[in-house]
Amino acid sequence: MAEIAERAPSRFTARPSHWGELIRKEDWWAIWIGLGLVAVAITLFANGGSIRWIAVAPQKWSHLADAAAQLQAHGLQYAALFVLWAASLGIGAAALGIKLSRFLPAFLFIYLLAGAIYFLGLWDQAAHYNLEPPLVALGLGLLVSNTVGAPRWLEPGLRVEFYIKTGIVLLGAGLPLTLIAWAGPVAIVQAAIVSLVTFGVIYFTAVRLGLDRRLAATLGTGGAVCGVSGAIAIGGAVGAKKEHVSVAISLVVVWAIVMIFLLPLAARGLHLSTGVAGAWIGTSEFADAAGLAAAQTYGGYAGNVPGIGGNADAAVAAFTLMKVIGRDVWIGVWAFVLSLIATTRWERTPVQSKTDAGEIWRRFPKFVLGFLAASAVIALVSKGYDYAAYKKEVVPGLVAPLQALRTWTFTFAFLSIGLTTKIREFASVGAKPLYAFTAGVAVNVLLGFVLSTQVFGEFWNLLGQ
Amino acid sequence: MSAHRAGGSRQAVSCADCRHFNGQPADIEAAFPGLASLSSAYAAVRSQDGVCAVHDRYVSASSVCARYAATGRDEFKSPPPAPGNHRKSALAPYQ
Repeated sequence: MAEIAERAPSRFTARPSHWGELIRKEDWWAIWIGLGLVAVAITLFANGGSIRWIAVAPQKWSHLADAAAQLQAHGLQYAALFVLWAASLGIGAAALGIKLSRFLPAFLFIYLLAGAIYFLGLWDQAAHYNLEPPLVALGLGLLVSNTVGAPRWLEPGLRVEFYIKTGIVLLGAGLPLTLIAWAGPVAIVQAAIVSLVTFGVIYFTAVRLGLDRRLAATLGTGGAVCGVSGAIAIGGAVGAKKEHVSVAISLVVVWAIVMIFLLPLAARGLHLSTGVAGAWIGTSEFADAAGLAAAQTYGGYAGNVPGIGGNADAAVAAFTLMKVIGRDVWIGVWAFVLSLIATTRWERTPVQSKTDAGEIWRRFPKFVLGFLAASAVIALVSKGYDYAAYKKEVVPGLVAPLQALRTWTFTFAFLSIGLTTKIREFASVGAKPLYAFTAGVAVNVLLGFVLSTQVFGEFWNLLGQ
Repeated sequence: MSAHRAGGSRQAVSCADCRHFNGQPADIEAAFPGLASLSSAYAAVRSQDGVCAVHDRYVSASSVCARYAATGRDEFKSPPPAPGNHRKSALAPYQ
């Protein structure tokens, strides 16, 4: 396991201000970039134009010659799209402290590879050979990083969360605010049930096995709330041992990657509709990026795999409602409550945490605000259109291009997951944390299945209609 | 509370200003393999947390302890490591 150096003298800087967060955290950069693109798209649309030209995406093809013809016809658009992404993401990366001269070459490689995977996914035989872009991107990345290893020059461009958060903000433009208001409360109820039960199972199993309570809480939130982000947030809030945070992260990553492949496979075998499967994945996956890979994969089955009902977007929509609205937004509350319990009830450590309710806002995943804002802005723009006009004008001119951009960012993220996951570097987790976490996984998956298919099944089915 | 008081000022100080505390995102990602795979050290959920090299814990920047050591160019000198803490330097991947 890597150790960490103390701060170098050159880093002795003034304590960061709260306003500095606006340029120092990738959540905010996801908002600036995502909402910036939405604003440009709306401006062009309002003036009779569209960002369609630059939001280029591969179309269905049957033979390599078709794909080559597409590339030839739209080469300039793909080059312009690269410039757009390189500029917007590059500015964000530079603000985060990643050198632009190192980010851009890495990003060029990722863009080209993501483009190739995107093209492959549009092959009319792709579904027949299980070549869904998220799984191909992930599988290829995992293969490279765990065999020959991803080259070091590529690392500055492998920003999974930056890409996925930008994509989630853009996804807001495709989810009507009315849908979020309609399905959000159900998602919150379902997610709350599963989160509390899963946390309880992991926490009490871990404590019963004799593990440290801070490790138990870090494992519990990693499994119950928001995966690696949950583990790192709670680890800090309760002042966990560094090795314990590493253990939780390793377990979450391994199980999350297993679930990317397992959940779509199981849902496909059970012929679940896309809405129901998305809700199940949203309940039982551990991380946003991993869950979106699974949900997008399953959405791709709609219309391509016999017996899978619902539309392609429903899986991602249900997942996002369940995971982002139902689980992610509560991480600050979990951190506040557990920090309070740690300081007042658990055994003392040499380091004393200070607990205050401001923790809830400080740890709030701010990109969710961008997701909601994008949805609200598109709702305002579409207000004057009836359903037929919305489908005929707003979707092709405004919403669909933004969703094409979202698909690009998700593909960058899926590729980056695989290329950053080096199993050999993970902490040795030990048997007891593994048992506790796996118990939680088992309960989470079963309970998530029952709630998604039986208790709220009809509701999630409606989402895909 | 055993908060260390800096010098003669008697002003409470926290881990954020301690030289044993490192919350640099690049160093945090290097210290926790897997963090960048499905999350990020640049995420809002991480707030300003960092690693305490003395206690080998991942702590919030507002925490306090008795081993506080003020930062400063002239006095940058690490204390002996705590038992079991080898404090090998991790290369910051982006800098």
